[in-house]
Amino acid sequence: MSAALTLSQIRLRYDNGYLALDDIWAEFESGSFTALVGPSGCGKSSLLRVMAGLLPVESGRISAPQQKDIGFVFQDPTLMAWKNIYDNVALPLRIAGIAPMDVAMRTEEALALVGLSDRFKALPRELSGGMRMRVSLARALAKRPPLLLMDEPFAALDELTRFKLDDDLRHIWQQQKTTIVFVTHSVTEAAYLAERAIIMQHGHITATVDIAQQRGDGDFRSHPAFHQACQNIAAALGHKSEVA
Amino acid sequence: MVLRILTPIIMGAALLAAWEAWVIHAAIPKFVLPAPSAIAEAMTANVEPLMASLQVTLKVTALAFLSAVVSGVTLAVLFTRARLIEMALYPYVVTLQVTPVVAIAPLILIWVGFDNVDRALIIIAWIVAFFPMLTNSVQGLRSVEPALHDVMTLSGARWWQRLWHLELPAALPAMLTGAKISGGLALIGAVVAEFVAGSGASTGLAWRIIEAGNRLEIATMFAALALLSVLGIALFYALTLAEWLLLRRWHDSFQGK
Repeated sequence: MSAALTLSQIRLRYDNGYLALDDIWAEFESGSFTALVGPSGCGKSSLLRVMAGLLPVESGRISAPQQKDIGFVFQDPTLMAWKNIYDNVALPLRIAGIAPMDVAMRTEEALALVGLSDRFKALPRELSGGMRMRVSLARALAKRPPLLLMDEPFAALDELTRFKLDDDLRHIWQQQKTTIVFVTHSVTEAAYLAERAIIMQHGHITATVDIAQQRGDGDFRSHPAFHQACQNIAAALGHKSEVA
Repeated sequence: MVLRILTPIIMGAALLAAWEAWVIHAAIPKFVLPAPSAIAEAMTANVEPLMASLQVTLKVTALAFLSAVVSGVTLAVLFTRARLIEMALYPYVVTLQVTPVVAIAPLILIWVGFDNVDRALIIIAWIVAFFPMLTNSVQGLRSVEPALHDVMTLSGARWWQRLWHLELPAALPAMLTGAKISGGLALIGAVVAEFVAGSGASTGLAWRIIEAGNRLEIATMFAALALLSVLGIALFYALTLAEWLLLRRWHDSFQGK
């Protein structure tokens, strides 16, 4: 397996002198699904922005795809309120200079993938929060990125919507086999989605937890492997009491 | 809706009637306060010179306003592109704004020349109207959601693509607010400029007011004043309409209306 993304000895300091990330080493295999888990302020979102080249590091080496080959889904939908959802998804492709025919094809395909084929003309404000997040996901997927970075994308949604989007994301990943790094503070979401959880605390990677992928036929959330994964991640985060 | 239009009309008619009755009842001389009927008479009697003056003032106001919009947005774009330009120019822009325009106006008249009074009037009105357009545009351009800038960065957008697709549309609401203020100020600037330019040189509505005042034709003064108000109101509603047309579909301020 080749690595889609490698981080070597990353150190990041904010303008105010605070050391946000230190001594980060990590490798992300092509086609893998990794969750980046940790408490608020542990540096996981900063690390994601470093991977995307949106934050310059103090030292260290990042070997990642070019920015135009990275899909990024933000905490908020971050859509342009003045453009309909079709144009919101198509704009990055047009800017990247992709031929109009391909732009149309990819945009329609991406919107179909997130189940919004019938809402091309809608403006963001006419959609629910969950639908807006789907548009945001479609915008990232339309680039057909070898690397998809997601920054707590579903954290602001209600739980049922989040479960649905988690399911959809798993399906999309299985179809497209794109490399995904998914930041979350939710132990259960990490356990449900990913093959591997990287635990971060105080700007350091403190543990890596592998998650069994023998998921059974029914809802993985009621599978013993899921509970085991939750326990392992929680333990790695330091919640000793939750470990059986 | 009907009530919103009818109420002020009825109110205005009642006030005019009361004014008329009071002037007749108290026998106020018409060189102090003319009755509305006398003002209407003066308006019809002087309709040609008044309309010509209205055109002059409208032209000065419109050109000053357009210059303010173009220069304000352009300079705002420059300011947000290069911090150095902003640091170098901003103090002088503020100086121009805080110096009373009446004090600079004679200088401008001398520089531009009494042969080009119209041009001098436009420049003076532009100085008055320019500042809110600039500050609102700068604020609008700076208020773009940071994550949307990241989206553009990750698309490999050039600076002009970022400007066209993201910053200008995002700044449009603030720019239109600035335009509404600038529009009113352009009219004020035009009137002030005419007052300063003074006799013979200018032929706008403000000059009609001075002229009629000198001749104690108070009714004509009121007629010119009424036209100035109408011009100001028309300008304001034209810009409000533009705002509605451009923003109603997507901007929060028009939701739930």
